[in-house]
Amino acid sequence: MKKLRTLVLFSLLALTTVLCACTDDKAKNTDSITIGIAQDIDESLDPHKMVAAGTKEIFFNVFEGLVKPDSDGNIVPAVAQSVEVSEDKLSYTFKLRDGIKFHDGKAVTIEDLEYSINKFAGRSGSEPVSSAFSNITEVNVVSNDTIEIKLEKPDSAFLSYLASVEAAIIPKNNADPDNVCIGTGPYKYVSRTPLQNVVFEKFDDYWGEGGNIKNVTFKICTNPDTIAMELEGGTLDMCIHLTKGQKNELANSDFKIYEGTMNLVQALYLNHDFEPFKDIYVRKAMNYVVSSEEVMDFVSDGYGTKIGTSIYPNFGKYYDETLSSVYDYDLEAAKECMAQSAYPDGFNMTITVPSNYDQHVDTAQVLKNELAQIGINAEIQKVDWDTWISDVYLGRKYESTVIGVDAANLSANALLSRFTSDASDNFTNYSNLSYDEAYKAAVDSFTDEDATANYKKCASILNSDAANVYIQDLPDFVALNKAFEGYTFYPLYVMDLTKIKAVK
Amino acid sequence: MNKYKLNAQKITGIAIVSLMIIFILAGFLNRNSFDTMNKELILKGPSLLHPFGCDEFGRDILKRTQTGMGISIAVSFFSVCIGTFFGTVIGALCGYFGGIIDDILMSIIDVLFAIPSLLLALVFVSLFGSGMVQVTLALGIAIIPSFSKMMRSEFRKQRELEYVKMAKLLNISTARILFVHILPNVMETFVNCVFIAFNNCILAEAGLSFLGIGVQPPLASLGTLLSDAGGYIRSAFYMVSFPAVMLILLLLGIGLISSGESFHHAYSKRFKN
Repeated sequence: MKKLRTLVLFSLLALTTVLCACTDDKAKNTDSITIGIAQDIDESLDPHKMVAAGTKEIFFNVFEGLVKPDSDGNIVPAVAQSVEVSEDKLSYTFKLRDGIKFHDGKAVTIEDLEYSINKFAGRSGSEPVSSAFSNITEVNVVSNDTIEIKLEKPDSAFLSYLASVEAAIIPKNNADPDNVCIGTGPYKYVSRTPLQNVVFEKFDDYWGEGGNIKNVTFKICTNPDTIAMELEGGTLDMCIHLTKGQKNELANSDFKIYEGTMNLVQALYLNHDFEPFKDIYVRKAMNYVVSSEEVMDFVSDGYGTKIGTSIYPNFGKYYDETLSSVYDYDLEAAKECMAQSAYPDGFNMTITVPSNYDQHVDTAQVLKNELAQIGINAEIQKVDWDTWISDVYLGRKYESTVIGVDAANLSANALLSRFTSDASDNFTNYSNLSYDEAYKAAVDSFTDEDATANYKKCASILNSDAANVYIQDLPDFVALNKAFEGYTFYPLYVMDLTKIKAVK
Repeated sequence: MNKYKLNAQKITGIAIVSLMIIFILAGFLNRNSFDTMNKELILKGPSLLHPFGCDEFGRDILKRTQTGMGISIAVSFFSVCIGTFFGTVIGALCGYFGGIIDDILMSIIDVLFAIPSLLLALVFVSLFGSGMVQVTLALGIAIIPSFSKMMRSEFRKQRELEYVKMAKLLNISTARILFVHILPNVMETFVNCVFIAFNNCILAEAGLSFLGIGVQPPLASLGTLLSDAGGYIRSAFYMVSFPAVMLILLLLGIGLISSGESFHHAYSKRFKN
C-alpha cells in the first residue's frame, strides 16, 4: 500500500513536470521579448560614465542626446527639436522639444540640458567623456526653451558627438545617477540583477514613435555554447552577435538570421610600451604575415570585411578601401621586415583576450599560428571581461590584445581620437607626432572636405605606421524569433529596440 | 603489502586506466599536431587519417584528446600530490597531538570546508591569474581540507591503540611514530582518499577549463575540449562525444580501483584474520 502511494505520488510529480513544459509556443507572448547579450552592463548607470560598447549598445534605447543617429547614419533631432548653426560654425543653438518628459514623468527643462552638457563636457569639474568636448567654451541658456553652445574652434563633427549615449541628457535633480537611471529614450530602465539580467520597459510618454514591445529583458549569457540551445529552447527570443557556429546551428530553426556587420575595428591591438612593438619593422612584419582572409575563413566562415586601418566601411566618406590591401599576406616581405628589425630571431609575446568573446579567442588562435611563421611565439591568455576592462583597457597592462573597437558616434573622431598621444582612452599607448598633427588639423578644419581629407590622412598614417595589426570588421549575425520582425542594423554599434515588432 | 587482494572491480579499473595511459602514450606516435589548423578539414567527420574527426579549425581531435588527457592527468596528479602532502601532515599533527593545535587548525579547515572547492579554486585563480600552474596549485589547496579531516580522524583512532603507546614508551621519535608506524596502518583510507581526490581534480580541472580559466588555447585539456565542442554538439557530435567518452572511461577506471575495497570491508577482513 505504501509502495503504491509513493508510486502514485511520484508519477504525479513526474507528470506535472512534464506538463509544465508543454505550455509556450502556441501562446507566444509577444508583449515581452528576451534578448541574449554576451556580457553584463557597466557598473555605473550614469551614461556619461559608460565604457563598454555592449552597455552603450543597449542603453541607446534609454538615453538620448540633443540629437541622435538614425539607421542610415543621419543625425536627427532628439531632445532638441531643432538646431541652428551659426555662419562661423562656432555657435549651436538648440531648441528644447515641446512636452518631452523624463522616465520619472517630469518634464525636461532647460536647466537639465545645461546641467547635462556641463557634466559630460567636463565643465563641472569632472573629466569630459570625450576630449572633443573640451572645445566647448560657453553654454548659455538663452530662454526657457533655447540653449546655445559656443565652441572655441569650428568642428564639423560636433553634432555627431552629441548624438551618442555618452552625451545623453539626464535630469539635474537626480542625486545618484550611478544607480538611478533616468533618461528620455523610448525604453526605461527597470532593474538589473548582476550577471543575470537587465530589464527595460516601454516608456509610454515618449515624444516620438516609441517601441512596440512592452517588456524587454536582456539575459546575460556569458557561456556562448548554450546560446543556440537557449534560443531553440525558448528562453531567448533574440540574440545579437552570434558566432558562425551558433548561426549554423540555428539554420533550420524557428529563427530568422539577420546579417550585417558589427561596425567594429577588430585588430590585434599592440601596446606600444611593449619593447618589441616599438620597432616599426616588427609591426610591419606582423601585418604582412597576418592574413585577414585566413582569419575570416577560420573564424567566421569567410564572412567579414577586411580593413587596413581604424576605420570600418560603414563610415562611408572616411573609409579608404585601398588601405585594406596594403598588407596583403606576404611571407617574404614579412621575413624581410623581421630581418631588418631588432628581433631577427623573433620574440615572445602574450595575446590577452576576453574569454566571453568566442570570435576574439578564435582569432587569437589563428594569429598565434600565423605569427609563428616569422618566429614570434605568441601565448594566449584568456581573461574574463571585467579583468580585461580593468587590466587591458583602463590599466594598459598587457602586451597585445584582440578586440573590436566600436565608434560611439558617427564622426571619424570616435575611432581616431584614441590614437593621439595624450588621449585618455589611448589604450595602445600609440604616440606619433605626425599623427597628432594630422588629427589636430582635421579637428580644426573649417570645411567638411578639409576635415575628411585630414581624417583620411590620419587613417593612412595608422596604416603606413602599422600601428596595430588590423584584421576585419566582423560579420554580425542576429537571430530573431519568427514571432518578431524588423531588426535593423545601424552603422554604429547600437541596437534599436523600437524597430522590433511582433508579426501579426 | 599483500593485504591488498585484487578483486574483479580492481582488475577492471586497472585495465581501463592502463588502456588510457597507453592511449595517451600513443599520442607521441600520432603524427598530427594538436595545433596545426587546416582549412580543408574544418568540421570533417571521423576518417581513417583522423579517427576522431576534426574540429572547427581542422585540427585532429584524436591528437587533441591525447594531449588534453595527458594535461588533465598531469594537472590532477600534481595537485593531488600537493593536497595529499599538506593534508596528511596537517591531519597527522592534529589527530595525534590534539589539544590547541588541533582546535586552531581544524577551525581553519572548517572555515575552508564551508567554501566549495571549485569556488576556492576560482578565488585562487582570480587572485593569481589563470594558467596551468595556478590551476594546479588551486586544486591542490582545495583538496587539503577534506584530506586533512580524513587523516585526522584516522590518526586519532590510531593513537589510542597499544602499538602506538608502546612505541612512545620505547622513546621512538614522534615523526617516526607518525609516518613510519601509523601511516602504513591507515593506508586503506589514504589510498581511497587519493583516488577520490584524483577523480575530483580531473572533474574540477575540466570545470575550470570549461569556465575558460584553466589551460590556455590552443593547448587543450579534457575540459577545454568539451567546452570548445559544446557549441557544435548537434552539427558535429564527434567533437564532444570522443573526449567525453575518454573522460568517462578514465573516471570510471580510477573509481573502480579506489572502490574495489571499501573501508569497512577491509577492516572486517583484517579482524577475521
